Amino acid sequence: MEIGQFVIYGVINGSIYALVAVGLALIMGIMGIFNLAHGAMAMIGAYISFWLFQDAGIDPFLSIPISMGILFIIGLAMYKGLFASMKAFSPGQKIRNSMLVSFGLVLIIENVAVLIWTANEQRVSTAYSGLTFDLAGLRMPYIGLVTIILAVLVIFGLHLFLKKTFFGRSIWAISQDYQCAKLMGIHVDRTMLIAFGIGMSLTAVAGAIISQYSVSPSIGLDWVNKSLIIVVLAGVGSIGGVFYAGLLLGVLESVSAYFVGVHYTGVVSLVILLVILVFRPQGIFAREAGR
Amino acid sequence: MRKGKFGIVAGIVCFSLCLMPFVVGQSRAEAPASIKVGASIALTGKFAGGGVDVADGYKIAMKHINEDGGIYVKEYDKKIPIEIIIYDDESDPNKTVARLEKLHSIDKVAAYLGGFSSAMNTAGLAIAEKNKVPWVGVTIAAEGVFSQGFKYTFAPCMFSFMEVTAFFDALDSLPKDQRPKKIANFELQSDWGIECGKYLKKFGAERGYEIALTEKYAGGTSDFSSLIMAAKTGGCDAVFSVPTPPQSMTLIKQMKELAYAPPVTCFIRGPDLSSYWEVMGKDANYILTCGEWTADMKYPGNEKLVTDFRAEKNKEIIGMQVGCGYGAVQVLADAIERAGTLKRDAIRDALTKTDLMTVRGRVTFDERNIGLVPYSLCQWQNGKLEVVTNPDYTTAKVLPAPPWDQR
Amino acid sequence: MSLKPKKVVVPALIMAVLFALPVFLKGDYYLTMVCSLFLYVTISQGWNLLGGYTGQINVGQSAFFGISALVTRLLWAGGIPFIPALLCGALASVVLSLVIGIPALRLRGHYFAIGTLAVAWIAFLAVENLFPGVTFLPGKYVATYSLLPRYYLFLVIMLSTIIVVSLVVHSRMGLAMESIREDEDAAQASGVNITKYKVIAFVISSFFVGLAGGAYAYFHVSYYWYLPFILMWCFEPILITFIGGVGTIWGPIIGAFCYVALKEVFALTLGEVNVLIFGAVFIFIILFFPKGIIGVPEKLREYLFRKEKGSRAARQKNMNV
Repeated sequence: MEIGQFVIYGVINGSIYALVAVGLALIMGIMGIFNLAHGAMAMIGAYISFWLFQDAGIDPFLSIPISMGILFIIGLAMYKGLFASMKAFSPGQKIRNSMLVSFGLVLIIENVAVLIWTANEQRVSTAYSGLTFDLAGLRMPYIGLVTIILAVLVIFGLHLFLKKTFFGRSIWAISQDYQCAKLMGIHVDRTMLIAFGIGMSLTAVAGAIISQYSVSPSIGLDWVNKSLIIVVLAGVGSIGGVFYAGLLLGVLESVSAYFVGVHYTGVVSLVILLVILVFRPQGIFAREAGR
Repeated sequence: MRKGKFGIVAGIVCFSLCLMPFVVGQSRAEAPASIKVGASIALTGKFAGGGVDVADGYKIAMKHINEDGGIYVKEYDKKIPIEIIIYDDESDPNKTVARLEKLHSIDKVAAYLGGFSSAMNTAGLAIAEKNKVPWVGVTIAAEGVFSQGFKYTFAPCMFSFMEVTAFFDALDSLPKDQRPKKIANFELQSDWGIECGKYLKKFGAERGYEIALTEKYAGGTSDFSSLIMAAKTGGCDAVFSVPTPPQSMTLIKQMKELAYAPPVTCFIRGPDLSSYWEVMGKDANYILTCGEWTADMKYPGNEKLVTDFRAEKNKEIIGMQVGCGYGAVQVLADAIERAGTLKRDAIRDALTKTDLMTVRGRVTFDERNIGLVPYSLCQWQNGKLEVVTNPDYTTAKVLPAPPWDQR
Repeated sequence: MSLKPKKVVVPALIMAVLFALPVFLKGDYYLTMVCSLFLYVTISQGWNLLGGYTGQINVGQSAFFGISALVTRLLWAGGIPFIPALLCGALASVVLSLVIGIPALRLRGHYFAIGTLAVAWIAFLAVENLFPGVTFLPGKYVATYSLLPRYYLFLVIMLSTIIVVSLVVHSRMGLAMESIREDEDAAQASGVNITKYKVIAFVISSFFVGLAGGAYAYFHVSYYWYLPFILMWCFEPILITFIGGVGTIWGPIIGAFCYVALKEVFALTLGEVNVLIFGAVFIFIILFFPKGIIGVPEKLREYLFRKEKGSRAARQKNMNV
């Protein structure tokens, strides 16, 4: 019985991890831009949800389209201003320079957030926060259920989008061979710009959920680390795999609390990651080894 | 960017003030233009929330002292204004060391005031001891730090043994039939959390309470379901812990989800965030937390501090550390006056003999220089932080919490 | 390796100045800042050997820095004289690099990076739980504490790191390492034993990072045990090396100097917005000098002599890096 409750929380936590990581999987895994500010953007998304809830009374789930729109525009500006100049760099230099630029960006974003909202923790407390319903004798929080559904929709939605639409497949094409894609008539600059915007706007969904736990300006770094682990565990370039990797990590952490105590769950999930990397160095779902 | 320009101007002003010692000189007969005190505080980074509160407390205390002309220093037979130089340590203890060295060797401060939170303060008070500069700080709660025989460091704030004692006082104040018997200790794996666990067992045994459960968690833990389920199945009717603010928020949320409502929940640190009710709403009701200082306390000088702060900052809510910081400055200023000189050793000696009524109550120091301040706990009751355990006065009684569905 | 007079005289002069510096630096503050600078140069240069020259991006350096700090501190505060304690600490770091390195170096690219990050994170969590308190220097060490020996310790460690890395890089070993960075498969096909050279780079890198960790334990009077393990110790050497100019000897040195000095000046003069402005400056530097600060002279030359064919060639060069 008890283990079941752990699994439920594991699935919920894993869904949040996956939702945060999926934007990074698109931007870093496919577009090759190492955006360290990814966690900070999720934090901004959470603050936007908080602000819309506090000042306009909009439920954080309902305000997702708004915060996605805002982050999309911010993402466009970010790409145009900072990363567009790197489009022709070699992969190594692209990762390096984007990492450095985004590091500076993190410092700016976190401090702007402090100036606007102060460094104290904020939280969105809705009427239904903390409420649960009965699921086979276990408790499932309403927010948790919505989280899981959102994770499935967003991640597999993105996966299908990339696979089935022309725009999606152009992104893949550009990531594989920039020059060739250009020659094929793909409007590369506009595609990359919009793709980056999409990647950023996805963090708004994660942000809406995070805002209901708690948000403060400095949470970004931990989220980036977690997202990196999940993106690599899934296999760089895999989108759908992010969901499973997130879930795996979340459930492992939760269930291991039962055996080693909550203070060591972080260690357990990281050790499992290392073990998986040793036996399958390309991640669980990546198609090519050693990419 | 206006703020950037302001920062640069402020920086230039600060720099010029730093050059003052070279201009003004340190001659004996001539009094210095101001008494310099220095602090390295987290104004940016993870701990900026509390850091800014501490800095605000220091600044407003100095403002009040200077309104009166300053501190009377017998050696120069005049009142000298006091001035604080605050550097940002970016929530990084490595930087705390560098900033304090600057304050000591370049700015030549007469004393240090502490920063925010144990990590930075631990690094800071060691530098104070090494440089033989008196240090008065708050927001440090692990007494292990004060058991090294350091002579120059003073902390007028609540420590782990006081917090645990106040917790048991709060439990004792409940009528016998409502009193919890089995306590769950959610033990944060830090020196503070472990010390609290030690005292819970010790005082619990002495005062007739059973620590039925000790569950460990770490600084990075964000899912407490296993601890809560253990406490629930163990039938624990009281919980004690020292979580960070985000951890305390998740704890309460998950306690509600898992329908665990012990009559007494005591979370030190997390819920003492002044905006806790604003952020948590009704779910924060009945939570006991640290009661070092609230805006409603009737100690002398508090009303002036509160009115002035609200007028200056245009904010209704005042963080707990503002009052604690204010009290620290009061203690230091009093010691400087009693020392009659700006020599560091004399100030240090005067500090040991402190017996002062401050905005947070009466302060004296024990032989380890740990501040003996009133053991005080507060409880969130309907939007207000009521003082429920305090030797001097209380504003409300401890309310045991009903089950979640009855709130 | 020919010893041109310039190559020996200039570094010797610089070393002489550094050794004499404490005479001119009045006040513990300046010594503290310079020690901090030396520390950052050491850990960045150490990282540079494995990351910049051999192309293995190690995002887990804090584990090596930390374990050496831990071992050194335990032994030294426990009564063992400092130099043996320091060497034990560096040895611990080397042992860890062998234990981690041999399996980890089979991973490539992103996976090696994340694997090392995971190792560093595990180390941090483990130490946070196993050593949850503060480490204090025994009273007698606090009473006799002096910054001077610590300055020289950091100086010697930094100089030896730079010299050894320099020697390695200019030898056949260095050539092998750079070939691994350029194209691992081609190098292997040419007969280079890539595992051997990766491990050697890892070991040398960890040794010097370990020395830096031990010096850190010697320097600080009291700190939480977990402090040398925080993940910032992983990221900062990478940032510094990249912004200075990766894969060069001067890169980490220049990068560390700019990073430490700029941050300090901003923190002292700009108040609450100091980190924000530092971030903006950081971005500016990268956008305008994509190869790092070490590419500044070249960039300036390119900018000034824009009309020549040199500018087209330079743009071409940029693309093929």
